[in-house]
Amino acid sequence: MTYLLQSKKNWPKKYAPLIVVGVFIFIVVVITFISPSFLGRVSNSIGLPFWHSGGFLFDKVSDLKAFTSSRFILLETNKSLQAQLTETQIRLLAFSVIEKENSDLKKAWGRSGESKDGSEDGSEDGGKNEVNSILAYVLVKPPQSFYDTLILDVGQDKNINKGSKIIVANTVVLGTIDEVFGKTSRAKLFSSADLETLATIDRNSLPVTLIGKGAGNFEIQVPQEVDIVFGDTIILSGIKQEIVATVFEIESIPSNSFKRVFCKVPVNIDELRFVSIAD
Amino acid sequence: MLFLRIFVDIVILIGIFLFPAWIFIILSLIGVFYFHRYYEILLVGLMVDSLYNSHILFSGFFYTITSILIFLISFEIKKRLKFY
Repeated sequence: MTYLLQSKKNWPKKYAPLIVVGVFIFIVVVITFISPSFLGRVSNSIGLPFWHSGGFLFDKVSDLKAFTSSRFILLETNKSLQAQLTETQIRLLAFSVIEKENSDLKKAWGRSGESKDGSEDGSEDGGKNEVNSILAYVLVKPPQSFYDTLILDVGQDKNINKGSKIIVANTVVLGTIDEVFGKTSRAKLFSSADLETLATIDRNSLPVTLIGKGAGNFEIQVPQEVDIVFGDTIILSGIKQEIVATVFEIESIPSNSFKRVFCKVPVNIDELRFVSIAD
Repeated sequence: MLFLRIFVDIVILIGIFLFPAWIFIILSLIGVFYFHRYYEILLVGLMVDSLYNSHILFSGFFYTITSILIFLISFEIKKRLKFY
């Protein structure tokens, strides 16, 4: 009598992917419960040499690109940049006058900047608001990074604190430090999707709520009668004049009781290389 | 095939850190449908989330969950495609 061979039960192989996914989820859950920042630390330490070498290579490639650009294009670009520089220098003259006036007013109202030792600054320079800041190189920025975050090349080694502000050109604040690792830190931009930031319209001190739309863009929803125009500067609520965004479009439909105001950060995040970190 | 898979994995790993997102996303999707049981996509999603997202407990694992779903769905799609 012959007996038919039973086929091998291969159910373990068939369900192997599900088992692997289950184990993977379990490990991630356990690690996140035990140490929420562990995965971030490991990923950042793996990424650091890539970011440093990548930054070096991209700088060299962009230098090489200059050789292949036509002379005519370079000349035109040079002229246009010269003109922009002259205009900016003229504006800077006016800015320094306004800055002096601002610090004089603050001093008159007893709100001059504090010195590093924490005492009130009564110096003759008008109480200039010196901020203890650290310069950081931007390793990763949008759109390469997801979630509108920046990876900076300073971390616990430079005593960076969570919640410190990311500032460009001493006036524009982009976001705050979200997580600090050994040699890097991650900053979350105010323009991260659906992040709400309390701010004020500089011109008339009206409070508004900026809703992040990603890639340096914001949206504000205000009643139709609110006085807000193209070019208005939006600043963070507080004594310091920290610019967050400028208005570039207003969508107003008469039948709606609210109008949508679109703002964006005044700096090009794609071209960010260095930022300051201040408490 | 193994060497090709390792090469693609290395390119994706470098891409996570250096290249725009669409490059390694496309490579990962190609890998999940081209290779058999492409578990590496799970690690890609996890790495992106741990690098670039702030986690408040379990919020912020969007790409990890997406990669798990793509991995599981790819089995069903592959069964129905004549190519396989």
